[in-house]
Amino acid sequence: MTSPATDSIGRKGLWASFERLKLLTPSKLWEALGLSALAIAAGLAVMLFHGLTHWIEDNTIARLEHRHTWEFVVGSLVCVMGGSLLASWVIATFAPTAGGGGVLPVKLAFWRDFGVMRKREATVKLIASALTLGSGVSMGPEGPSIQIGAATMSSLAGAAGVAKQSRRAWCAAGGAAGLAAVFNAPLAAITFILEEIIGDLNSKLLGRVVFAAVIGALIGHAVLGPQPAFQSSPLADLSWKGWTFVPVVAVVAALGGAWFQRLALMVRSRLNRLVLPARVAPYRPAIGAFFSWAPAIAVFLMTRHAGVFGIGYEDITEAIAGHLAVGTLALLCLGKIAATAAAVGASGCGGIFAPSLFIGAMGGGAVAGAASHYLHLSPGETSMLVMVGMGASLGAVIRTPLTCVLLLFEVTNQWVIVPALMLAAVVSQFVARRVNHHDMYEEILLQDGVDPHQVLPPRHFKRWREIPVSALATFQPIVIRDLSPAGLRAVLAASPHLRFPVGGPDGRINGTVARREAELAMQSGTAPRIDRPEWVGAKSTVGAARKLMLAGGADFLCVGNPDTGELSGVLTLHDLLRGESVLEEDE
Amino acid sequence: MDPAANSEFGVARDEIRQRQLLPKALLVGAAAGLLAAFFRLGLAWSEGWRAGRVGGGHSWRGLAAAAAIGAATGAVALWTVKRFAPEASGSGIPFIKRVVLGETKLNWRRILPVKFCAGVLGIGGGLALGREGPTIQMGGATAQMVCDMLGVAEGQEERKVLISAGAGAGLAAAFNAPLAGMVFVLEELHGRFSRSIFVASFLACVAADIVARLLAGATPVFAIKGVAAPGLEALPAAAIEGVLAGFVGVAFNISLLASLEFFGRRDRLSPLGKGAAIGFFCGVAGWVVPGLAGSGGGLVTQALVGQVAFGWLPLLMLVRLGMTVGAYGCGSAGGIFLPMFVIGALGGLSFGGLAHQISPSWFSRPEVFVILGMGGIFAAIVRAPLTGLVLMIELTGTYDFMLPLLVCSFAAYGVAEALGCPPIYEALRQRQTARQSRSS
Repeated sequence: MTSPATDSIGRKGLWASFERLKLLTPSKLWEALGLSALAIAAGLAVMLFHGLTHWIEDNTIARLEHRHTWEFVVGSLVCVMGGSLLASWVIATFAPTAGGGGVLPVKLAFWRDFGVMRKREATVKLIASALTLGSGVSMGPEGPSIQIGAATMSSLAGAAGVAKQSRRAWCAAGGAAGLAAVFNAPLAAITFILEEIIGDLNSKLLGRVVFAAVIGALIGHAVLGPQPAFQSSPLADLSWKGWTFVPVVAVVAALGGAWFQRLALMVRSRLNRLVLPARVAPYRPAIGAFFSWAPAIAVFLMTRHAGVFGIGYEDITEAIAGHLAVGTLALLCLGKIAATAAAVGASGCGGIFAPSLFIGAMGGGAVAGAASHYLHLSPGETSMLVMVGMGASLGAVIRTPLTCVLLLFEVTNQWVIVPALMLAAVVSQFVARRVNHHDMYEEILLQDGVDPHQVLPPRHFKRWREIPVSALATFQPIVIRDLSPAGLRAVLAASPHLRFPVGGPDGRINGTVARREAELAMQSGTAPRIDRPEWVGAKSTVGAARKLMLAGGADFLCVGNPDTGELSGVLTLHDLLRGESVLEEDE
Repeated sequence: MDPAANSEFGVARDEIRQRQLLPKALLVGAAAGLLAAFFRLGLAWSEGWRAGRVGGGHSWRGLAAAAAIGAATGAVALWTVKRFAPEASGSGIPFIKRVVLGETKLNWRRILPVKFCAGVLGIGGGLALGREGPTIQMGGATAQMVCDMLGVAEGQEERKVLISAGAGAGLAAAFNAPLAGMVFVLEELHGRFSRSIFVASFLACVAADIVARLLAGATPVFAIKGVAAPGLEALPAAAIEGVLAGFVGVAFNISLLASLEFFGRRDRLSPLGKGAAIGFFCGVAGWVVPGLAGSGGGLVTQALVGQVAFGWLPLLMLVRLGMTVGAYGCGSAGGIFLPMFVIGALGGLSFGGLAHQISPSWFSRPEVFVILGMGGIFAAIVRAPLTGLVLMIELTGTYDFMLPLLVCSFAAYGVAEALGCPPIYEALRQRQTARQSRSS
């Protein structure tokens, strides 16, 4: 056996490979051109969002900040409520799917709908998020940027004639372009899309995601300038004292992030249970906005810092520079947790990256500040601990450690913090898993009664074998209760299935009958042959179900309780194959 | 799911196992880092010793010393590998990939001493190979050793996870590049995200990096000083350089495989003779141009400050390519990351110099293109773009070059992919597998 590798380049040589030069085929060229054009469009859309947010902010909260205290108190309430109500109205009227954070809709669209997103989603998200964030509700611009980018590219690709089945690549690429543009962080954008949305590093979509991220970063670079999002003076290596505080800061910041997630989910479940009239229900985010205004204004009155309002990047930069006192930092951290939990819990239109970074920065800064009181850490080390806290807190909420390390590195441009960030990422994963079972996105899915396994594919074969049967089974099975020819005819005419469970009058399942047997029985007028049912528990794994099928030779399992004969669903060979087909990444 | 279901279907068991994985990963990382740091120190010492014997003045005595040292160390290094552990030849990355895929087994008792000694002797004596291949393979072997000592059963998933984490730790320690080590494990060795791989490689790389920084120095390998980041106007040039780097990378891949084929057909020649010939060639080249022999990191540093004569660059590049391809092809122990960075740096400097001569106002600093050349050629040869980008950041210690680097890498990647040239480690792995199945 000779290897294909030496065959393809060892013998035929360079010239033969020239002949197979596939780069310049018209379809590839068109795709590359289209990709760059749409990535530019996505980047520009995100820049528009960025500009609009800042314009609104400058004309509302930022302008009021320097006025008299009572003017600010009243004015900020008006701004926050007004912005939030307006955003809710826009969403409720034009595109109800554009509400909430941005990452989950993209992820769901990617896996459930082949990455198909509507143009309207981008526009509405852009306006509603800019209104929400600009008017001072405590949320972040990253999730919306991802959704705006993804929706722009996916919808424009659709308009340009890309088939529905091949829109995934465009959706993922758009998300990368959006995140890369808003943060000036192409690497983190690539890894976030691979880690969180696609879940595979060797994805076939990698090339397109990288390409779009480069273009997104270019647009961000051209519009916002080359400077990192958080600037600080150059840092030196950590001393041993600094190193000992890395895990401590990471634990505190990760706890902050994890508690924020818990609180947000708690608020969310409470608010979702609240029965509101249909006309008022879409304005739920305004309730959250009010409860996010309360802690924000309280913290402002105590510290004169408005960081809990809106995105709050200025205060993060201040914290990195070491300009904030320990008490201020702690108050800002707690205020942000409360304010953002209310806003996110009420499904406000904004992301969770910026608040997580804020919580981590303030929590980390507070610990570092308190520590340097006794141990005399240098200002550079305190800054590094603030950055470590940011990474740990973000990692605890979104659970993508690689992205967190790269993101923090890209938004600060400080090479020396990478080892400390890596350590913090591990610690934060550990802490986060102690506090919450899943990351924010999966918890939200679970709260909505969606089994993440049913929507998102398992990452590899082992995981696939371990998913519960209930994720694949068909519930609402069609049960034959009447075995007379007329009863059989009615069931066979109504459904195309190949095998049916047979139930007795008491509701118990006595067996199964194949379609062929039923047809024969109908013709001959006798009772059909009934096979013994094979049972499987709803919590059994797919691996166990497969073993049962192989051992029993059946292609049909009853899901339920064999002792009581109570049937909750059926699992067929077809269900298994369909489930398995999502393992492959269709383009 | 309730806890009972968890324990029934292995989720809880996985969690318990993962908790035990953490200290093991830390141990593997620290051990791999220690070994890699000693390897780096050994190399630095032996390269310094050779430079002292050869001297810088182009004397005849120096030439004799260079030729003799090169031939002797090359011969002994190659003989040691062929005699005691043939699987320790070359870079070690394809071998670790095969171990992770379950295609072959790893015997740390043979690999650790042979790779260490042959690496220090061969590279220190002048062979144009890099230190990261040995440290990666030794990292994997260290993990195997730790597994054996702690009684991790053969054939368990945990073993593979730890071996790949050890390999990443080796890369991290070789270049002070913890993040690149981890991305390498995820992208090149496994290609998927799994929590245990993540956590194990994270911890191992951080531990290895800390140990290596303490012992072998904490500065970036190619620290950049005084080169301002290029603006957006450099991007078209970066794309062109990327296309060129793509072609050079493909040429590198083809000639490396052809060289392996060439030496493979001459299997009956004594390894002493082959090693001596290649070592002699490298030694003499290193006498003519100091810095050309050995790992070549010094040459990159010189290129970064523009101290290499512009007119000689294409020739230097070609000679260096021949040295690396010859040394790797004959089967000596050493990696190709550093050698390809050297070729990329020389190529980048020639491109930058040319651009500077065409338009001095637009391309005021040819050194910028050195970094882009290194990133581009890595993307073309290894085809692991994330690892390449992260590694370039960590090698240079600056993020300022990110955008042109991305553009250059992407262009190089696209060209290599379009030419239908397989990634080098994949090609090498398939070659090894094919040879193994033929011999059995």
